[in-house]
Amino acid sequence: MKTFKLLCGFIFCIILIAMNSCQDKQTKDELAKFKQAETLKANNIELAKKFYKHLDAVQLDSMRLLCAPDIKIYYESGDPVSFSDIEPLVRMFYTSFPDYKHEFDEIFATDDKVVFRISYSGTFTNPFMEINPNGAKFRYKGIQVFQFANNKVTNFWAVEDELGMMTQLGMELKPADKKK
Amino acid sequence: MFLLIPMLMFSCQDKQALTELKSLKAQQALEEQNKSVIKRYWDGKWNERRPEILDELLTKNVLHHGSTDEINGIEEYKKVYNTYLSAMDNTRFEIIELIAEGNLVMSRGICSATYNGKLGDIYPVGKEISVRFFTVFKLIDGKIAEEWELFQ
Repeated sequence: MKTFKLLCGFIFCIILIAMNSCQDKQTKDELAKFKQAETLKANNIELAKKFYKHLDAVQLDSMRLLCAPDIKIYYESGDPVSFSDIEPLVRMFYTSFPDYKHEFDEIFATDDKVVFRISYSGTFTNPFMEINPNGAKFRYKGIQVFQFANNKVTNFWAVEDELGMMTQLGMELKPADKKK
Repeated sequence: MFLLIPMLMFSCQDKQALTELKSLKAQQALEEQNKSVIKRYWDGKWNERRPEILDELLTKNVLHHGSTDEINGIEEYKKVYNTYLSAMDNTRFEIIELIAEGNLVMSRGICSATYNGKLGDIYPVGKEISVRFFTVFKLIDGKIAEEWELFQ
């Protein structure tokens, strides 16, 4: 009888451990998923920062390596452009404003996306779109979003206070003539 | 006895993991809740054209950072909003994407409206305007405390 009781106690303990272990595994699996997502977010943020570092150094080849070959860049109008399409624009900006740079005001990320609130600054040193330089220093804001897949940028969206920048360069915005 | 010790160890580990998981799930729930606040905000502000939405979803000391303007406090915010509300007809805001982490939400969307001429010397009147908006919101206790907005 004593042996039987001991055996029952032993089986009961084994069942309890097994139940505990199952719950534990489920919790750990869920936790692992969350942690994997956190690691991915941190990795994507570092890649995006690297993108800006190469951009401010005008290292276009290094930038291209961070992008998927079919990257879609949504800039200004709603239609996407390719990396090759923006290369002349990047060169033009950093020629006209050699100290042009990006500073991060805020960074946050989720799943495959990274959001940046950015301050851009520079000095109007060389001609820009046929406008003569006036040495003006400018600073304006922007919001940019990266989408990553397999450590490459697949989509990029940007909106910037271009009007603010142009105004600081000395340009004027006038309303169109009223139709008579 | 030798079975109770591993059981207790298992149980302690499990509790720690469970607490961490609960905290991460709570953050995920908060992010979803914040996204729904922003959806309600855009709907109320431009699709339903309800000025009361500002009292419902903005903090009293809300800060707005726009391209050209800075707004400090809900009363000033209401004045600016009412100016645009009376100058724009057929307003429609379409959310393209909401991205949330912690107390921050970013929304990408398109706002369209017909300008009725009540903003002074800006032409053409009667033309439908469509503008892409990027806005980052900071929320506190389910209300918008700060927003950074840029449009093209």
